[in-house]
This record gives sequence, C-alpha cells and structure tokens, in this order.
Amino acid sequence: MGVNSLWDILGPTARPVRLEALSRKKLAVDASIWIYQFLKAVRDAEGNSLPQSHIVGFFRRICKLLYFGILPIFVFDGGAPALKRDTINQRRQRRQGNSDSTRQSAQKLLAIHVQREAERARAAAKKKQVSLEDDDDVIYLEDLPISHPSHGSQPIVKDSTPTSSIAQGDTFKKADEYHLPDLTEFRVSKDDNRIMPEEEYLEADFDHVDGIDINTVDPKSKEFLLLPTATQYMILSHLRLRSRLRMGYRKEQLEELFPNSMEFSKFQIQQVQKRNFYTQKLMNVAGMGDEGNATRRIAGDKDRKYALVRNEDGWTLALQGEQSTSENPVTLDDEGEEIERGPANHRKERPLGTTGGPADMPIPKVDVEVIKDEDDSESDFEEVPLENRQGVGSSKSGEEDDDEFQKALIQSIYVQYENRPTEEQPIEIKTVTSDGFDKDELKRAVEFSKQDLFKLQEEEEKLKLKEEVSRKEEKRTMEKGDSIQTFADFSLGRSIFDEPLKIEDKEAPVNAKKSDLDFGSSFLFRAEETNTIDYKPKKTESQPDNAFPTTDAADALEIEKLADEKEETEEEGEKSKPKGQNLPVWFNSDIPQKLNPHNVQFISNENEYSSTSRKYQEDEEAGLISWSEARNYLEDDESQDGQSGSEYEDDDDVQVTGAAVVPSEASEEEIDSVPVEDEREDESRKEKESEREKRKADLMDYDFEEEEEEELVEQLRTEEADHEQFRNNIKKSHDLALAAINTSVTEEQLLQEQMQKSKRDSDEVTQNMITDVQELLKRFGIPYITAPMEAEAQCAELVKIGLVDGIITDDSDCFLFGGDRVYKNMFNQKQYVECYILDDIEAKVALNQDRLIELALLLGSDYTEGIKGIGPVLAMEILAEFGTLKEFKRWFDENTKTTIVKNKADMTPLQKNLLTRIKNGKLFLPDSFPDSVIFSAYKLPEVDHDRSEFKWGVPSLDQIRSFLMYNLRWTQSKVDEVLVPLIRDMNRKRAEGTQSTIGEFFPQEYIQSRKEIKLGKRMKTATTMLNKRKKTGK
Amino acid sequence: MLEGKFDESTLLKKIVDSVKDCVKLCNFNCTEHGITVQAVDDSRVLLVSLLVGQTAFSEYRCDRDVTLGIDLESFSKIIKCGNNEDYLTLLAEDSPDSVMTIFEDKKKERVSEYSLKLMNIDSEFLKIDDMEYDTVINMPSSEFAKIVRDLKNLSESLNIIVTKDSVKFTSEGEVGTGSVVLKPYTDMDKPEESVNVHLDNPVDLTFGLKYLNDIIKATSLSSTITIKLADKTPALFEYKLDVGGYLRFYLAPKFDEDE
Repeated sequence: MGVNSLWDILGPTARPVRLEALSRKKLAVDASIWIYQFLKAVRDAEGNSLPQSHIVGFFRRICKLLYFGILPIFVFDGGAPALKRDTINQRRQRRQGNSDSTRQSAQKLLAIHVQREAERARAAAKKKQVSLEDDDDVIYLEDLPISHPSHGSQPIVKDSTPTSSIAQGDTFKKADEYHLPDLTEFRVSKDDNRIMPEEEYLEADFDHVDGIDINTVDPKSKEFLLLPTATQYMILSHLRLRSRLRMGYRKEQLEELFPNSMEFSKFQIQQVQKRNFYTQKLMNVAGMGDEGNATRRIAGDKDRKYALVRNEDGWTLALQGEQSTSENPVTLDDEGEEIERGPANHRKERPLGTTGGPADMPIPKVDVEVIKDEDDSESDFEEVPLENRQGVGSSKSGEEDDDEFQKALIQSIYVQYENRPTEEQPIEIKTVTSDGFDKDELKRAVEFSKQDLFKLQEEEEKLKLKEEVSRKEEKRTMEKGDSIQTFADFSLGRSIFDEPLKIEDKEAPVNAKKSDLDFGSSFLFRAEETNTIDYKPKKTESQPDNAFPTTDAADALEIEKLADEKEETEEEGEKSKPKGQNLPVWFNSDIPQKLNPHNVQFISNENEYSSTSRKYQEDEEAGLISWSEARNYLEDDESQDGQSGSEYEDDDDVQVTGAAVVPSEASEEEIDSVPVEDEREDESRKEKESEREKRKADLMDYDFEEEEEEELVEQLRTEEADHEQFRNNIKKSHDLALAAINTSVTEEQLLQEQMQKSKRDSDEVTQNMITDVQELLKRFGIPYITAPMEAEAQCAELVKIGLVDGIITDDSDCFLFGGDRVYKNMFNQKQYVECYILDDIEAKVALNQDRLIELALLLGSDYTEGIKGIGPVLAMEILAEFGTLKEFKRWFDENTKTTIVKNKADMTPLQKNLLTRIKNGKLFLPDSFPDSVIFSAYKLPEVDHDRSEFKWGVPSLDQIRSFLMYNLRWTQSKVDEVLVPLIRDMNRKRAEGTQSTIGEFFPQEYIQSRKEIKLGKRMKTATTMLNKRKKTGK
Repeated sequence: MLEGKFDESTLLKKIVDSVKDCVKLCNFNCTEHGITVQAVDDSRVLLVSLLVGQTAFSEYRCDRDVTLGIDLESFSKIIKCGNNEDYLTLLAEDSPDSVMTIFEDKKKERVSEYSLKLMNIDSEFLKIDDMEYDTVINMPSSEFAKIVRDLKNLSESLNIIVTKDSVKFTSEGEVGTGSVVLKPYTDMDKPEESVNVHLDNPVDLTFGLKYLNDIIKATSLSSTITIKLADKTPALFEYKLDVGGYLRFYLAPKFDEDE
C-alpha cells in the first residue's frame, strides 16, 4: 500500500500534533484499508482471527476520534482503478515467478543428478554383471508375499554374503556428501534387532493373529470365546486399532470414497461406535468385567451419582438419580447389546462385501439369510445413539406413571418429549450445524415435517378401516414374487418396521405362518411386534448370532399372550420404547424434524390404539427413508447394501398390504423431499461459500508486505492496549454509576438487529463488512461516503475543496493525489499524531506533488511497479541529479542505446554509480518510463467533486448498544463501559459548548526551525540540490 | 550576542511561573526591542504572547536576532536559584546552544552562573492583528482571579455576559450554579481598584475555566487586568508590565454546537 518507503523520506518532516488540538477538526478518514487491517491483524489471545474484528476495530477507533472531539468523515473505496489492479497482479506474478524459477532450478539439479547416477550405474553394472548371475536364488524382502499365511517359514535373513557394490567397495566413490552407494540388495544379521523378524512382520500386518484372519473372525461367536485369552486380546486390540477413524486411508482415498463430507462424518460415527464395541470387548477380555458396578457420589448432590454400570457385556458410565438407577441399567443394557451386535456384523460386511449392486437389484434368495442378519443388526446399530436417550426417557415415564390411565401417560410422555427437545435440541443442532446446517433451517424442516404428518394422519384415519379388512386378505394372497415389483419403487424406502419383522423371520423359519398368525390377531400384532423388538436383544444376547428359531418363535408367542393380558397402558409404555429406537436413524440423517412428529402423534392418537401403531409403522417408514438416505451415503462403503435392499423386498410382501402402500408412499415422498431440499440448500450454501471465498481472495488483493504486516499487527496490538487505557481513563473520569442509566436494550431490538443482519447477509463477505461498518457509523451519527474510485484520492479532493481540515490515513499515496494535512499514526499509543503538510514537505525535503509522483515511479506504488533496485535515498539522489525523470531516462538511453564513449571524468559520482549498476544489470528502465498514464492517474483521479457540507449527528446509545450486543455478543455492561462515558462527555461538551482552538481564528505561519531536520547525509545533499533546482526555476 | 540584565530577578521569575503551566516549551525571540515569546498550549486553545520591552532591562543589548528554545520547567528551576533582589543577566551567543543565567547579589560579592541547554523547538507563529473588540473591561487582577477561582469549583465553563451596566460571570455545573456580577466602579484614591467597562456591543461568551485558571497565574505581574471581548473571537486577557511590556493571553471561546 502506498508508495514504497515514501514514509521513510517524509518521516522527518512530520509535525507532532497533540490529539487535543484536533478537536472540532473535520477530518476525512481513509477507511479503505481499515477492514483489511483488522482482518489481518486483529487476533485474539490464541492468534485466531476474530470474526467481527472489523466491528471491534472500527468501534474503538470511532470512540477515540469522538473522544477527542474530532469530526470524522469516513471515506470508503469505491473500486480499484485498472492501473492498480494491474500492478497488484504483476507483483503477484513476479512473486509467483520467483518460486517457479526456484522450483525449476531444483528440477534441473535433480535431472543432472539422475543423469550422473545413471551413468555411474551403467559403468558399475558392466563390472558386476558376472558376479550377479550367481545370486539368483536370493530372496529379497520385498519379493516375499506379504500375506504369507504360514509363519516361521524360511527366513529372509541370509548369512551368506551377497555380492554388491559394497562388496566391491573400492569401486564406489562418493559424488557428494549425500551420495549413497547403490544397493541391489541388503543383508542383515539375524541378531540385528533393528530389523523386524519375519514372524513379527507378518503379524504386524494386522490381518492375521496367530493364523486367524481378523477380518473374518467374529468376536461374538462362541468359537472366538474358545480362543486363548491372549489371542482374543490381540485380535480385539488389532480390530480396535483398525477402527481408527481413517482406517489407514489416505486423505485422497477417503475423498474418493466419500465424495460428500456428510458421508464421511457418518462413516466416522460408525467407526467410533465400532471402536466403542471393541473397547468394551477388550475390557471384558482384560478381565475388567469381573468387578462389580462402581458408583461414585457427586459431592453436594445427594441423590445423584456417577455409576459405572456393568451390563451384560459392557460398561456404561452414567450420571444417575438415585431412583432411576434400578431402571437405567436395563435400558442401557439394550443399548450395549445393540452396539455389540452392530459392529460385529458391520465388520463382517467386509469379507462379505462383494461388488456393490444398485439398491433395487434383485438378488437370488440364497444370499438372503446371511445378509438379512447383517442388515438387521446394522440398522439396529445405527439406531443406537438416540435410543439410549429415548429409552431412558420412556422408562422413566413408565416408572412414574405406572398406574395411571393411558391418557395421562400419553400426556406425560408428551410433556417429556416437550421437555426433552429443549435438552436434546442443542445437542442435535451442534452435530447438525457441524454438518453445515443451520438452526433455522432445522426448525423450518421440523415445522415442515410436522405439517406433513398431520396431513398424513388425517388420510390414514380414513383409510384405517379399509386397511384393517383388506390387509388380512391381501396378506395371504400376496406372493413374494408379486411384491418385488411393488417394492422396486421404493425399495430402499422400507422401514425399520420391516426389520423387526425380519428378525422374526430369521428367527422363526416359519415366518410366513407366524405373520399370518400375527395378522390374524390384527390389533395385537402391533403390540407383539413392539414386544419382539424389545425382547429381541435379550434373545440374541443369550445366543450366538444365528438365533435359534424355535425359542424365538416361542418367545414371540409368549409375548403375544402377554400382550393379550397386559393393560393398554403397559402396552403404551412399551411401545414408547421401540419408538425410541426409531430416533437414532434420524440422528444419523435429517433428524430433528422426525423427533417432533412423535409429540404430534402422541397427542392425536390417545385412545386409538391401532392407529397409533399404524402411525408407528408409518413413522418407521418415515424413519427408514432417512436411514436409507443415510445408507445411500455409505453406499460406497457397504457394498452389500444392494443385496439388503432386495432383501427388503422379500420381507415386505409378508406384511405390507396395498392399502398400507398408499400412505407410506406418500410419506416417503414427502419426507424424501426434505433431505433433498436440505441437500439443495446445502449445495447452494456451498456455492455461496465458494463464491465468497473467491471474492475474499479478490478483495484480499491488498498486498501487505511481510514487514508491513508485522508492523500492522504490532500496531494494532498497541492500539488495543491503548484502548484499554482509554477505557480505564474514560471510566475513571466518569465515576457516576453506570447503573444510573436505566434504558436498556430489549429483546425486541436484538431481534430487529437479527432481521437487518440476515438481510445484509445475502451479500458477499467483504461488502457485508463494509455495510456492517457503515451501519455502525450511521448509528454514531458519523457521515461517510463511498469514493468513486480510490478513497485516498477522494480524501485529497475533500481537503482541496475545503470540506475537511485534514486526512487521517497511513497510506502515503494520499500525497500523490495532492492530499494535504495528512495525519498519520492516529491510532498509536502516543499522545502526538504525526501531521504531514505539503508545505512542510516541500520546504524540508523539497518535494512537491510532481516530484512525489516521480518518486513513486522510481520506488513503486499501487499504480506502478517502480524500478527494481532503487531505494528511497537513491531515488532522491536521482531526482536531485537529473531534475526530472525524463532527463534521467534520456541519460539512461544515452548510456545504454548509443555507443558514444563518454569521458568518465565528466561524470558525477552518482552517474558513475548508476552506470555500474546498469552494466551489472541491476538497473533497467523500461521504454515506457516515465509513464505519463501514472502521472495523470495521480493528478486527475476519479473523484466526487460534490461540495455539499457534511453533517454530524448524535450517537444513538441504544442503537449502538444493540448493534454491538448483537454483532459482537458483548454484554451491555461491556458496551456501556466505553460508550456511556463517551456519550456523556460529548453531551456535556455540547451543553457547555465545544472548546474552539486558537488556530481557528489566527492565520498560522509555520516557523521553520533554525536547525536542519535530521536527514541522512546523502538525503540532505539531495534535498539541498533539489532546493537549489527549485530556486533556479529548473 | 544577547545580553540582558534585570534589576531584579523576581520579574523574570514571575513571568516564567505564570506561563510555565500552560506552555512547556517556547522560543524566546530576542530582538533589539526586547524579548518576545509566542506559544500555544498543547490543546491549542490558549495562546500566550509575551513582550518584555527593552525598558524592562537595566542593560540590554542584542546585536542580532537570537532565538532561545527554552524548556520553561528547567528554566524556572534555575531562576529560583537566585534571590528575588539579585541582578539577573541573560547571556547568549549569536547561534547559541545554551543560555547563561547569572545572578549577582547586590550586597555581597556573590555571583552564581547557570547555563541551560537550549532546545530546538518547532513552533507555529500566529499572526495576530489588532482587532476591534466589542467590550473592554479593566478590573483589578486579583478580583478577576478570585472570581475564576471561586467559580471554577462549580463547573468547567465560565460564562461572561457583558451588558450596558454590568459584567456577569456565571458558571453552571452539576452540583450547582454560581454567578458574580460586577458593576462599573471608580475608586479615585486607588485607580487600580476601579472597574471600568467600555461597551460597544453586548457580549455573551463562554470560556473553559481550566484555561482561565492558567491565566490568573499571571496575577502577580500586574495589579490590573484588561479583558477584551468580542463575539466569536478569542478573548484577550492582558497583564501590563509596569516596566514596559505585557503578557497577553488569547483564549478561544467555547461554542454551542448548534450555532
């Protein structure tokens, strides 16, 4: 920014001005680079950039200006002139070019090296040829089959001395320090413990432990338990290691696997769950399972304690109330089981996972048995996280309301649900926002789905009776084959509802019969179904994976009887549990919008037992869609999805009737639309984001040189300290209690802010920031303008037409536009501001606007690259020597393009110096030098010549407060700390009158001090020469 | 070469003491007519203009104009070293690095010399034309000092309203208000005690009491003070030196923003 090192030249001409002296001065503030400064340099204690740094920064600076009674006018950049953009681009390219050339040279070096090596190798090969032939049967480590199953086979390590270049020793000569001899093979002694022996190497492969492929082993199987504990432990720990989040994939691989980051998140969650399972298992194996449950009371909390509860095969650490402890382990137990089942199968998928077919691809039934099993548990596995919560909730409610009527129960559940969302919402939102969703969006989505469900309910009510009748008949008539077609439509859209049934299927080979039986007793079917879900885990728990069908069936029947006998309330209570199981699916994908539907259902269904169960079913279907969504995401990973999809088809025909298809399809559609929308929004968001990034990149064009940047950071740090001091001062000077001000920002105002903000958010980032700042200015009653082009030029113009008394900027460009009375370092800690006046500059360093522009041409500025190798002193000397740049160019041409040999004695020392530089290629003037375009760009910048006076308003305390409180999340007290004293001070000034200054009344004449300003020797000479030239009129 | 000898060091002591609180650094411009000082306080509200005429010195010689950049704080310490009745002589070269201050006891044969390093002070020079003022008030300087001191306790601003037959000083603050009204009065025996108001136009001006408080430090220089006021212009407070010369303060008024 600005002219390179122009400040170094002008520095000595600065006049210290007390901040107080600027009172009532109208000063144009060049705010164009402020935002960038703040963005770059305002960091928090950890060095992170603050999102609202621009507001904080502006706020502080505005406060400072107002405190000293300055009347600021903020000038913002309109656009960057073409000249400036070009220069910035050129500069960037040059920098790029530098790095390119270094890369190129590195490549060349490498090429040379490679060539040399090749030649050397060729020479060596000739010599070696004969001896190498003998070594045919040497086995090299890298040739060994890595997955060699047998261990302890022939070791690679050979004691025979292989011939190599080392053996020939004397032929090898080091080319350089880093040159190593070529190795065609290597040998190690058996005892060398740096080298991993073969067995270990094979084991380190992790795929095999004691000859067991851990990919195929099932840690839950009986066989596994029979293994020696040590082996079990090894397998488990390896499995656990493998379940690390990235599974050893590289980032690129992962990106290929999961083009969508959402999928990856899901995958990660899965992995975490797996890990949890392995960890628990590991604890078991390690013998930790033998100890009892550990509880620890929370100090000061009488009825609550942490309990490390040991359930069937896992540990659960929970914070519990005294009462619920008895209840909780049961639910958590289920969860533990679920977790266990899930990953076990999940892991199994790997070996099973063949090529992933499309979801609705029909698959021969032979596969079904296995896949089914896997799929069930997988879905269960997905359900886990929320079920836990839900389960707790429902069980609690069950306990509390055990004896109450159904209605009351439902209400209580409803109440609980109402309460829960408040607790759960934040959690969900957290997870969800991390996926790129908005709170607002979620809410909307929830509303949306609620409405849908209401609609659906109405529909269903109508259809219900019809269904009841038709279902029985259709159930029987429907053949499996028939339904495949029906279900191809929404193949993946099969529900968890199916899955419990599938479990039944799987467990009872006579599933067809059984389901008939179920449907026969249509009402109870639902209850039973829920029951089976409940009991299922226990069953599987007690048995190895392949369940015994008979017991299961017996169980189911038993449950059925039970259900028959049970009160409706109890059934309701139980039902709430399976409902809980639904939630996890949502947790995995679109989530909360399905959380709330439950409330809706519970209210409306009260007595309609069957309808609730219908809804339950439907709900499951609803849930399933999202789960299938979720699974879609994971398609790449779980190749057997397609098979399981077709699997559904087999099962579905058993239970779903034509009537059921209608609502479920409807619901599917509707709910399907939600995620799609989400996705769309997601996409558009992404687009916006990328756009933003682009813009950001564009706007970050301001090239802060590295030092400059550091300086900036340093400056802003001191400024912050300064502000702290300022705040303290201002606080001290106003010891009236802040509490005396009884106005405060209401909620409503904050909401208004939000509205405004969201409106502004539609624009892109930096424009946003500018509007933020402008909004702040508005509320401070400070006028601002947006320059047609460059803000510095506009500031200079404002001074010229007398609208302002000076310019606050740190950009030396301002002088080139003819800016006078430039105040620099306004926001440093010092009490004095540096004031630069054109007359001073002219008097002290003999530079006027034209000369300043010429300097810029030499040194480089925003508009020109400058001449390489010319620093401030040399530039001044050149100007002094030649007077104008044209003259300099003429001399340059004379010495480079003509062959006239001049007498060196005629030359001044400077000319000699320059000549050597030219000869060494260190100085070159392009043909276009000095470019008149740049002259005119500085002389006649595009500015607004409007002469209408500026008006200053009064800061609006309330508005500023609400603005800061909303945007910076400041507390009111934090805002008031500075703002209230400031405004009070301003009001007092206004009431008592503002102090004018002497300078307003008497014309000033600057007396140049008798002594010369401190300039470097060369600079001084140059200045004197320039002054002489001026006097002689040259 | 500058050589100026005061009959009594007390005069210079008073001058320096009355200025040093508002101006820390200033250039003493020495010409053949005497020594002038013009300086503005840090906040640029109060301008100090001092003329010590040639007549104030018992001996004065200044061949060429000499500027002495003096740090008044240090200078004041040096001047305090002499007794009030001592002769005080200022000595400086043509382009001096330091100024010499010599005290001579009138009775004893005691001479003390102090040298003060000079500073290079950038300063602005304000061209002050003789202005037409709406009102000229002559009053005892101690009277004025008392008014300022009293009203200073109430507020930061002093309002001066001059009408045909009275001068009213008012200050309104958060704790209360106070006002002093003076009427023209002529004391034949002690003319310096008279209050004299010459009025062309009524005046209503407000000044910062902080600055007035600086001004009244010069009270000891003269028994009377002349206040010249005009609307929307800096007020002039002048203390005449009996021996020739003056110490003037130009104080910029306060404005109501709306006007």
